[in-house]
Amino acid sequence: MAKAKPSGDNFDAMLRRELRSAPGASTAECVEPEVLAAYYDRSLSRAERDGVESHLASCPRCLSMMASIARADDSDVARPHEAAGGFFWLTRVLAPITMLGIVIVIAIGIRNREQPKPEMIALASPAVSQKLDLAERAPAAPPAFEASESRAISPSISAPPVAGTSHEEYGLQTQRASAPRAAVADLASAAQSRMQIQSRAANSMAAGAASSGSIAMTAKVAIANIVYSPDRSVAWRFGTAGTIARWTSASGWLPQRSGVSTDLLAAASPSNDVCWMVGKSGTIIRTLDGGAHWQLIAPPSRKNFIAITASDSNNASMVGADGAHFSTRDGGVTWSSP
Amino acid sequence: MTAESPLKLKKLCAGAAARIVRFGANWNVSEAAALETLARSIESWGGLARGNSLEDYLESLRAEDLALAIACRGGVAAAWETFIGKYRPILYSSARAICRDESAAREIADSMWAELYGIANGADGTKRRSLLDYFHGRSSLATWMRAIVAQRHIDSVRSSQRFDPLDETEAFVSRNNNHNDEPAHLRMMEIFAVVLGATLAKLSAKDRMRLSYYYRDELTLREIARLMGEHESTISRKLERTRGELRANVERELRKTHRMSAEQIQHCYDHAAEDAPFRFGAEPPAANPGLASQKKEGGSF
Repeated sequence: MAKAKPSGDNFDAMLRRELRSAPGASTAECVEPEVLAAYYDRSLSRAERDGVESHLASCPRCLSMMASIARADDSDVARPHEAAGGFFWLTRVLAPITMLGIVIVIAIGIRNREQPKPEMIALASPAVSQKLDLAERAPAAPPAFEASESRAISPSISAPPVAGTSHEEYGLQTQRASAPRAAVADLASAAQSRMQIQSRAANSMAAGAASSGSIAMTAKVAIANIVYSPDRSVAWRFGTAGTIARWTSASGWLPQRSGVSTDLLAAASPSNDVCWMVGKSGTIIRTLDGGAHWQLIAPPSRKNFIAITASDSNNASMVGADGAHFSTRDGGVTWSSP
Repeated sequence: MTAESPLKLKKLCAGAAARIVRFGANWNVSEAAALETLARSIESWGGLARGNSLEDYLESLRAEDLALAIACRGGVAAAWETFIGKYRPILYSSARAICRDESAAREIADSMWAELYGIANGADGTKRRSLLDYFHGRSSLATWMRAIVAQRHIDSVRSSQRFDPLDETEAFVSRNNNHNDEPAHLRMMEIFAVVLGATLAKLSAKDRMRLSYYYRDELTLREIARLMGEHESTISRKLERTRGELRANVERELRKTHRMSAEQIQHCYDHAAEDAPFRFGAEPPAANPGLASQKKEGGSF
């Protein structure tokens, strides 16, 4: 008898098949979603936990819900999913390696600084000088909120641009200042400062995503709102003071001029070129050309708008913070309220 | 069983309400609103009737999230801004992770977002009822939203599957045309499935859950560890142990009760990777009516 695969693998296949059963309809015994959530959060008493577990072991539906909760909890918040892997590797692998390299470069730099060569420092490009200024101005331990906010709309905070931009920048500037080791060391210090700020910003965002986050933490995540076009080839980031950035795989994050200075709170992108955004004080803006031009639309109310959905450039519905609901069928020329 | 006096219950509720009010100070959450929410939460819990400790229950409630939910339900703009900033990204990323399909995820997240505001509810057309009314603070808001998304996704998949053609008999016949030794092959496979199912049923609830998460839902060890409250290495070790014991017990049962030879067991393994030639855990299709009765009679090799 031919043995295509080792028996062990095939036992797994048998096991997988035996355990495979489609989730059925909800029954009277099924656990409420909130109780499943409480079970996941370890908020149930011992007796309640045991009850849920004994039901889970025999209910494919509730078991599937638990698996979904775990899978969703594992997914990161507010970033393009294409970048997820890159960001993970950047923070968990590349960052420590880069930091180690930087420490070595700094050590070399410190040794060379004992005998400074002014003529070599003078060779450093303006870009390098600028970085040095930035590094000097950067507070030793900036508040997490400031770090987060200053980077929120900057292309360098998001995963795809972070990897590309910082490494290209670093490589280019290292070439410019290849001869003067002291300048390289200073550049490395600047890069280290940038990485520390970036790391603090990322930590802040992660902390903000946790349920125990304070109100201040919440504000940090607020500026990282992102919407996607239906095919996910375009992402829009929007936030405080009318800041907008657009992402494509080709261009990465590019800041755009929204033409407004109010905080933007929600957006909808029914196609790659069309995007609607709403925000505080009745702000409504729309682009029809991928963000090259943003058009300010006359609002039906001056209150804050906190949610919007749009099916195309003409049809959109939005909700105010007071619960008022408005719809347009003509691109925002007229608004109706049910 | 802990029977608490009405005075003590009142005192406990007042303490819990004070906590909620404290967290909701920025949004002017009133004590009356907090108490009303607590009353609904306690009613939904139903633990008092079972004699569970109210003190423990109130202690376990997420006061901060409840305060935010109360303020949002009350239409406080500042609370909504906080909610949008913190939970909108979570809702959409959770929907994407659960649905694994962008359009389905958007559909579920959009409709849920609308219901959180309350625009999709209110049968009378005037009363605004938010989905947050159903949040009782037993878990974090984030996990609660994930659970709702998961529930809606499952219901959505189930409702879409009702329209899929299911020609099991035809598929069954075409799949089994390449076995010349029918029905012996079928019978062996079915016996294997029955024995495996029975052995699985004897496992403890936790062992079955671990296996299901790993083999059925294909979760990572980290995800299973979080679900089970165990360390990843513990999950790995227990999975390996359960799998080994399961396999040994299945093979022992096949040899002892059904007198299957090592070659026959190997035959089952060899064909396990094929598209299911039979429906595990179900009666065989009508094409082979004799097999079902043989199985019930406990026929063996």
